Amino acid sequence: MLGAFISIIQRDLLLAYRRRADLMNPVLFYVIVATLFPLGVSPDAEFLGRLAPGLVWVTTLLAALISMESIFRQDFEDGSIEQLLLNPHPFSLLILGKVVAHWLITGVPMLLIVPVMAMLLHMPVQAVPVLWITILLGTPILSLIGAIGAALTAGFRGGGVLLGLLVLPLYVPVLIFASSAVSAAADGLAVSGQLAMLGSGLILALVLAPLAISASLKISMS
Amino acid sequence: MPTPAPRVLEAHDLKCIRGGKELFSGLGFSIISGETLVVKGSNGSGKTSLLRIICGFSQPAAGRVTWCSESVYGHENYRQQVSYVGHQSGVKPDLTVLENLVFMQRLAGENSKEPEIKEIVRAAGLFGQRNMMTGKLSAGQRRRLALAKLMLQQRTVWVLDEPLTALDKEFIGRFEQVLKDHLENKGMLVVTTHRELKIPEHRVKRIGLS
Repeated sequence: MLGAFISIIQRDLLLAYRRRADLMNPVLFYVIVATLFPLGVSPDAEFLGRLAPGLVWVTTLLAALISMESIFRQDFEDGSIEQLLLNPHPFSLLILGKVVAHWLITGVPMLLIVPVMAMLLHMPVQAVPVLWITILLGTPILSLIGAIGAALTAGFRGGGVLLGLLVLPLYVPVLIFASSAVSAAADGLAVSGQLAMLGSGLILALVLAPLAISASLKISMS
Repeated sequence: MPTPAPRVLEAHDLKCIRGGKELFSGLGFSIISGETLVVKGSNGSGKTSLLRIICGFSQPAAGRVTWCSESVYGHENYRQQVSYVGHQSGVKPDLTVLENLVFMQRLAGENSKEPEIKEIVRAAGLFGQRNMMTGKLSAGQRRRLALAKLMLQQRTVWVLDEPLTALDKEFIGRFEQVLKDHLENKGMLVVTTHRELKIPEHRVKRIGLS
């Protein structure tokens, strides 16, 4: 069973590597926002530093949303989802493998870029490690929740708008706890409460989301 | 020693509605090991919808399909015995021929046996293209690859939607032999096709959709 789980991750990583141009979209979006925002609003370091926690997290959230639309699209079009359904292993486990691969492709680059973005936006140095932890805990939740919406809209053409409407309200708690943790760290306050909420949210999403995603995909297929 | 109960794939009173239109109703069939169900009908008559119901991908508006008397929808044991080749073949265009088969085998939880896979690729007439991206193959070659999966997985129930589309005469002959071998090994076959398949006629049942 673990072999099949690892295989689907390997396969999706290989496919992502072969379509490197698509891979760059969320990262590019991230970099563009970080560089254009100071030009469009104000280059004032103190002003940017105050906005940075929320700005970084809104950008993370939108970048995650952009990448979600494609998570099941090709599998749906080329009939791979049907083949996964006929697999002897639990469908939800294989789907979790796909979400893990998606997070490795989109979430990990964000983890690497976010300290640079924080510096560009003059975020206080003591908040950067907390920002990094919130991205580490929060982006898998975004991938897991986003995949539920992507599974429900996989059968629709132009399902991107619907995906946003479905998923964005569910992203709000992650945004609130994560940006609140980073703001608190910037002000030198305790952040354990917010991080604990994000951690428990991640565990909950890991347990429940694969079941919801697989049920949504079955509905989309029928 | 008691003889195991025969495996039976049956459907009773099936009704299918798509886009508000009734495609078929009151449809039934029953096949056992070694038998073939050939589904015929014009375009849009519901052949693919029927195959998807038989695979358990979707539920009929009425009636049910059973495997050994249990509904196939959500039937774990049945799911592991079905191979489906539809219009979309589940073949990844950005993987090579060999990679596609290796991942298919690994995802099924089996260790990839490269010599066995290479033999199947050779049987499918794709050995020269084994390291080529599937997206660069012709439609007929992609079809061959999708059908090669049947030989790789060796499951009991083969559900094939227009399997001969885009195939050349020579490969059709070889593929018909594969189907005969499958049926002789107590397999079952459910197939939609516009062409006549050369398989033992006395074990073929037919359904016509209009």
